[in-house]
Amino acid sequence: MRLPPQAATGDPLPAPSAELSDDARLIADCLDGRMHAFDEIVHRHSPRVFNYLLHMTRHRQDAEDVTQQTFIKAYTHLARFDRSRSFIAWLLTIARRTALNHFRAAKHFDSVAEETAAVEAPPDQSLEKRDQFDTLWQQARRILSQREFDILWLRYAEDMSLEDTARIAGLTQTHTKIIAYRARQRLIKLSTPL
Amino acid sequence: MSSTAKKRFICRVVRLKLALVGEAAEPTGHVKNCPDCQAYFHTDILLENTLRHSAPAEKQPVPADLAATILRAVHQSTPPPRRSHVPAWTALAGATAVVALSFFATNRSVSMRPAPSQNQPPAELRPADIAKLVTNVDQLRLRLLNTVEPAAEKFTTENPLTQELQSARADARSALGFIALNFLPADSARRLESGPDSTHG
Repeated sequence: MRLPPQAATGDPLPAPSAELSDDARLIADCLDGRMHAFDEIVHRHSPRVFNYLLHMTRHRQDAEDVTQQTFIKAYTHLARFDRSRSFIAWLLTIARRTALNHFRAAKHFDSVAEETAAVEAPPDQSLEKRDQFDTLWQQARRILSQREFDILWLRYAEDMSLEDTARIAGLTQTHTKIIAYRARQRLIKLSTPL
Repeated sequence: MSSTAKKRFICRVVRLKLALVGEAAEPTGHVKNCPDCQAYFHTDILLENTLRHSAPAEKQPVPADLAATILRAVHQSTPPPRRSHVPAWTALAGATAVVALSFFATNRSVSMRPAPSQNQPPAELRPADIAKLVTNVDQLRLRLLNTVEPAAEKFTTENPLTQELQSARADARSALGFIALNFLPADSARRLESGPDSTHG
């Protein structure tokens, strides 16, 4: 794995404060009976929810179904949402739980897979060759466990705070930090073979 | 333990510790004197930035009709969420206040009669008073059933506190039963318990 040098600049992503206030306004409008507000919520957040679920389920149709269920649940329980918190974090929490329940009910999801690592990649010539063409996220998908990948995705792709990541994953912040640290270590080992 | 192994153990401990507590802006302590750890943290920062910057390319295009499908499903499956204008506790407090007021009103109507002097024999409730009392309690109960209860039910139809309200209703009924049992003669109380129609019949 080769890390591109331009990534070292680390430009910060835009602050989500404006998004938070917009969400709060839309939720207030929705609770006041203005239905178009929820339409805007769906248009604004469904791509992030869908992509998170797509990476979690690895199945497009399942991701669509669970995205739909997520927004139905969010709509039903909108009055319970604490507007001092991040709305997208709340949605992703619902999405994650809905996906777990969906697969538990269908008996497709093995909870052990969340804890254990994916298949260890042996230092095989063909794998090395594949690494050259795989993106970093594809390699992460292949070598990390489901939980490790989820946490990296939330932290770096969704740009969630540590607190929100921990809440979505249903873990403590310390546990989340350790999992992220181990996941990064495994990815670094790919780039610096011993 | 060899020097290299010891060094690598220290490196692992320091890296884990810094991953948990956060890294300082400038390398300090072990990291300041360990090129391996400096290289590791440099790579770690590089990795984090690469993950952030390469993520948008990993996001898949959303199906064109996804939002429309979601909205159709949402509108078909659920009633619109509404802010509860009167919280459930207000309805419960109202019911409690009605019961308390009725209790005090009943007591006052009895106690407003001139207090018997010590020389006089204790006053007995006349049949007219009992009938009036029965009518009052019955009217109060009907008012509770016809006004407070439907209103409270309306407010809590979609509320998870419905069960609590039902238990409060049961408490209110018990309180009325208690009032009837303690302040009305047995036959009147029984008649009251049997239902509103029988009290008028």
